[in-house]
Amino acid sequence: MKKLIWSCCMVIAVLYAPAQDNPLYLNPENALGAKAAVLFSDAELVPLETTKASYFSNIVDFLVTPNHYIFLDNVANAVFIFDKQGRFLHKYKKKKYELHSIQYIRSENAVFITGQNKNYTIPELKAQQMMAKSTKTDFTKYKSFDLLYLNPESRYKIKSLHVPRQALINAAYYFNGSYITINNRYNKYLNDTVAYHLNIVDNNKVTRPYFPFFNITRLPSFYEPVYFAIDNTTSDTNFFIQKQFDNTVYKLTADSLIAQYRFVFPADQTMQNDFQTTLFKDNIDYNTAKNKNNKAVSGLYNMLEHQHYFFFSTYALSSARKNFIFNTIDKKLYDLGKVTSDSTMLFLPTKIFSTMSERDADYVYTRISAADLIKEKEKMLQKNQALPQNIQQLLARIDKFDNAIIVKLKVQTLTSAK
Amino acid sequence: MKITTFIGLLLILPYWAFTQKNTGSIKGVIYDTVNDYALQSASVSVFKQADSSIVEFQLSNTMGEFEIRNLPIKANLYMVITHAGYRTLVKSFLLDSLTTIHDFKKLSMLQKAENELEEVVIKVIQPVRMNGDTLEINPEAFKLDSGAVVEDMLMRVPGLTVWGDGTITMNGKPLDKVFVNGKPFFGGATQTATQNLPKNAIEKIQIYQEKDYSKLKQSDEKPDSLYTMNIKLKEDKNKGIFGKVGAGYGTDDRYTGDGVMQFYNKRTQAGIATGINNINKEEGTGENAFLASTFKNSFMIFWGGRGGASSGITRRTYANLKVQHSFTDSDNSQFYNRITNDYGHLNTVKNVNTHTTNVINIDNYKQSNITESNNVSKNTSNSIKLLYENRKQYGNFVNISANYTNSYNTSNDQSSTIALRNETATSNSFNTSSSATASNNLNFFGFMQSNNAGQLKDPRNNFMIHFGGGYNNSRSNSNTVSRFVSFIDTIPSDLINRRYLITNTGYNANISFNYDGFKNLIFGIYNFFNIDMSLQNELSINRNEMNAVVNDFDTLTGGYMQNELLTNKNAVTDFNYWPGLRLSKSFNKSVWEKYNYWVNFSAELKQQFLSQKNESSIHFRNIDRSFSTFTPSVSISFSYSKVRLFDIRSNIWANSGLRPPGIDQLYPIVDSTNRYNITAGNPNLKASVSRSISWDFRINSSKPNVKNNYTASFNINVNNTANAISDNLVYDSSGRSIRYLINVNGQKGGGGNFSTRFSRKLNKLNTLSIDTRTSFNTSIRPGFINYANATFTNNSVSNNINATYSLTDKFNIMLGQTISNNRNKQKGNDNAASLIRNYTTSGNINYFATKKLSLNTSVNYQNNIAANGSSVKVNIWNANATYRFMQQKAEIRLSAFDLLRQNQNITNFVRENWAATTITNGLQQYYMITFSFYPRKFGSNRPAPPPPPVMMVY
Repeated sequence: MKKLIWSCCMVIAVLYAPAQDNPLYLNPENALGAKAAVLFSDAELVPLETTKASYFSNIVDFLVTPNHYIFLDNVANAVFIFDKQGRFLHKYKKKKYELHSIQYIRSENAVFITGQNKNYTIPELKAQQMMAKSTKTDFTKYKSFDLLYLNPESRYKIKSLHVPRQALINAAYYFNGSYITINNRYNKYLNDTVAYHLNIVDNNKVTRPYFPFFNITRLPSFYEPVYFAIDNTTSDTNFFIQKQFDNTVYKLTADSLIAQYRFVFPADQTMQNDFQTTLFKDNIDYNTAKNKNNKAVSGLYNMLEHQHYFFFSTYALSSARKNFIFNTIDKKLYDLGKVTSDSTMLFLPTKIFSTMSERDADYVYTRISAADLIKEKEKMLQKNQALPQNIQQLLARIDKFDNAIIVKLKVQTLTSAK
Repeated sequence: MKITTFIGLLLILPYWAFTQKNTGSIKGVIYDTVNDYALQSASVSVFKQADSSIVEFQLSNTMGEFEIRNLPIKANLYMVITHAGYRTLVKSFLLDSLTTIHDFKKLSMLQKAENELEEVVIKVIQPVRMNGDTLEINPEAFKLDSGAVVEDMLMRVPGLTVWGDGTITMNGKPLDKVFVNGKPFFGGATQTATQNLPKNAIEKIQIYQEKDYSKLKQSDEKPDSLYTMNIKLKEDKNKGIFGKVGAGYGTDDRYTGDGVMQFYNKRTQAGIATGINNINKEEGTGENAFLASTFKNSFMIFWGGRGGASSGITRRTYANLKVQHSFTDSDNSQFYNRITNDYGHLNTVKNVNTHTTNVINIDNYKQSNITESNNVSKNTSNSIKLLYENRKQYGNFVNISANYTNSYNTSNDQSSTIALRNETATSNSFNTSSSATASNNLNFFGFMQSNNAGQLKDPRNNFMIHFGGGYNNSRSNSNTVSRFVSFIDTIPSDLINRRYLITNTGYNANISFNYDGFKNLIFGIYNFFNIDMSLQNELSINRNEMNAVVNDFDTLTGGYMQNELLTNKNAVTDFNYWPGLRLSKSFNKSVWEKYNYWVNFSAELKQQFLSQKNESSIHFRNIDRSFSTFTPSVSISFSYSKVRLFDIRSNIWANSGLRPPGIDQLYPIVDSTNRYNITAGNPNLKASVSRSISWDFRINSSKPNVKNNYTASFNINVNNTANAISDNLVYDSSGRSIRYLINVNGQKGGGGNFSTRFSRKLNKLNTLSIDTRTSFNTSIRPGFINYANATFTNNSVSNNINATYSLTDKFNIMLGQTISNNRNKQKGNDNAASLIRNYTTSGNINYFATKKLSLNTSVNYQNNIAANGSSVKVNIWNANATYRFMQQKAEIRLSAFDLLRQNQNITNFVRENWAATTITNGLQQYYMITFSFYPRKFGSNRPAPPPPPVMMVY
């Protein structure tokens, strides 16, 4: 049975996975270190205005748009909008709803905000049933999809969107007027043996499905959800997509799914091939198999393409997290944990790399908390011979309760190490 | 005062000792010179050249810098620097009194070429590392002798504290559970694993916070803040056998002998323990023998104390068997499917001589009852325990246990009591009794829980069931001869010779069913203001049948005649039903890397229905009664964690309960052999309703890798009982009391305790710890004496402080002081008050002269001050010397108990209107020699694979 399933999976994989580039053999454990100057040429700090209205405490998502910095804070349960100079512009909350995610929609110059009605908790099984059997077509009573317009003339107008049934489970993404929805588990209400993890949904109908899987019990998706990482690219119609234990980064375009980076990691950091197709006797066997491979990279996240660099972070089953930069020209992999701070980075601590997830035409973006910056203040003043006036002023006035400070990093245009 | 000074000196001594010692340091910057950047998080370890033992270790900072202090001077050392992807760098150095600081400046590391194999393998291991959320300790990094066990290594791990009682804390938080390959090790006690398993059998030790995902999904409850330790064995050490065989003989015909053998493999653990002793050794026998017979037990960091303090002299013989079998190879501690079986046999023969003086305040005189008694009891019991545990999903549990005990007990008592009114004798009594009792007890208990816990299940099916049942039966045959002589009554003498044959049979069954899917059933997916609802039902049925056949010796006929007053059959059936609804709501806020808090409010609305049926051959005891009352309870739980600073947990709860009077309080059957205490029932007694409120609070530090750790906690509780059952004590002229039971209001009580624990790691091997505990209790009990109002107020306070200084493997000293007093005040009798006090000072020193020889001495000084002001001072001084040989597998111990010949067991009591002092016999001075052998074998006979070649580069 195991062999049969494995063979079927291979066939399905071949059918649905488009042509891939040459595999990139990399060992994350031996990734290079470097001085920051090898990778970055300049850093700027942008403090965010801190007032009673603009104060946020727990950032769960951060967006950089052409004219704004946008944060989702899950403690305040609000979206905060700042301009590129750090001035606070607007705060958005939705009564009765818990905000879950934000996504910048370039074509609309708007933020796509998803939320969940706090008055309802839909158990996963119930959601699966509703998804498969409900005759309703709109589920805005339970979830909300809103577009928050950023154009000055729109005055942060809100447009509520229709919520399809497929979005009842897990996150959903706005995709060219449609939605990307994830179906990450076994669903007993589906009649088909083969289901799809990722669906493009238009008007409650799946127009394009990707990542087929066997919808049968005793496979991993019966015990736990199969996780997907989905990150925006610079285009509304291009997404990076990575499936749990699959070290390939796919690019989803308007009409296809292509393998953008096919990473091959050493065997001890890779989940065994037959894991996804093994029929486990019970949860104990399933967890035993997982524990045996706890060094395996489970997922990639914070995927970001900027000029000739591909930034990404890895998450292992053992919960270890690491951040990397892959140079697409010389194929070198840098471990950001081994990059040392220097004057190009104003001697800021390298932990800022763990939150690097945004870009615009000129910079990649990360952030540092006011408390962390205060800790580094002395070192920065001591080691930076000529700190720009504005940064000196910032260090002089900063308070540990201030909002986070945006860090803009300009990457080196040179392709080889100095 | 003396002890305070001594503790003060103890605190200062380590600081003084270590400021005298010269140490040096090294520093440098680790660099990739080819690529011109500093290497952060490179591992820098310093070893001694003499034995390659690790001295210190550190990771380079974000600038590639390191500075390692506290290095020994005038010792040849070498430093090994490793970093993933780089060739290992080794430097040797010597620090002396002139050059105590060595700066290596820029240390260049070379990258390995692609696919380069290590030509030179340097065995360097990081002692401690974080692997995701798990702290991993690598035993290979700790150079200890071949006999070292896991505990020896844990004492050297930063952040971990091994306490005197064997508790291990990690940054102040206790390690709640200890597993070996994900399974409890011979019952789960920490010491069984840490003091038996050799360090060399361990692949790694993992310490992590066990997250209960079922709780997280249910009510956003925070993960369990207690730590779990998992000892992962090397693949070739997945089976082993170890144990202890020991025997000792001493003066005064004292002896002890014990044997323990334990075996484990990947799925099964089995152990047998047997022993015999006549040194009152109860702790560490029977089932606990596995815990007390560990390889390092006699060399564990603290042991000693008073020893042998129990009443009388007991010979104890035991045999125990424990088997645990897992039906799966899983090494994940959260999922299991296993069965545990225990068998125990115990035989005790106990001889106790007791002298009791009981002074009773009555109106305007004092009555003293002075009793001398002797009791010889023999008990033999056999028990079997079965436990089945299954958890295959996060929220699904099945636990079923069953216990069966069979016991046979014989007892022979002789006592004589004289009662005095002030100084004048009023009566005396002489009692002789013998009894033989055989009993059988069978109990079972089960627990099942199912909740959705993130699995694909319908939450409407969530439930939790507890159920239990039992059957017990006893048959007792006894004979009592009692003579009462009154010097005042008109009938001066009374002799009773009575035989009893009493059979008791009891049945009980209970089930509680919590329907946690109730909210989903009623409201579907609507959250109902995020209030969780659970429907609760608890049902219990108890039936006790008693058949007493009592015969009195008739001096006229010379035979036994049935006593019609005492011969009776009685059956009590209690039916209890508690339907209820539990409502709870949680609030939480969590800011990443800053703080989180969680508050839960819950209320249980419960009604208690009680129906009691009494069936008896005595007409007036045939009564049926029913009660119903509202018994709500509420609780508030709170936790607050400031990341890497401190954790706070607190609970407040209040509840109420109904307690009806029993048939023996309503219509007692009075046995006239009970000469001085007679209870007269009261058929008008009402059920009492008690209400109580408690508050727990605990704070501990959570700073990682700091020298100081602290924990502080307190508990306060207050209770009040309406319609409490109290009494009117009426004394007659011969000193007999009749207790008339009555309902009273205003019975209340309160208590609390406050404890602190502080430890400071002075350096790697030196630890100072101080723990304190203060507890107090107060109770107010209204009553009557000879029809006059007499409210008794009892206050007790106990203060305890212990200070311990430990130099790992060398020396440790523990000093402790306890001061306790108990004051009883009687309102209505000129506010007469009785006060008893107890001062205990204890000291214990262990000195490990060599790895083979340890010396221990302990002193326990007690001053017992009775209610009449008389003081009894006792000094008990014990000493031991232990020598290990044959690779530490054999041991000879010389023990001396009570060197000063002062051992006495004295206990003072004060309660209501009486104050008593009891003195019992106990062990007297003896010297003993004990020989023990510890057979040990871990892993198979196959030789281990050869280690990789090691070459040092200087």
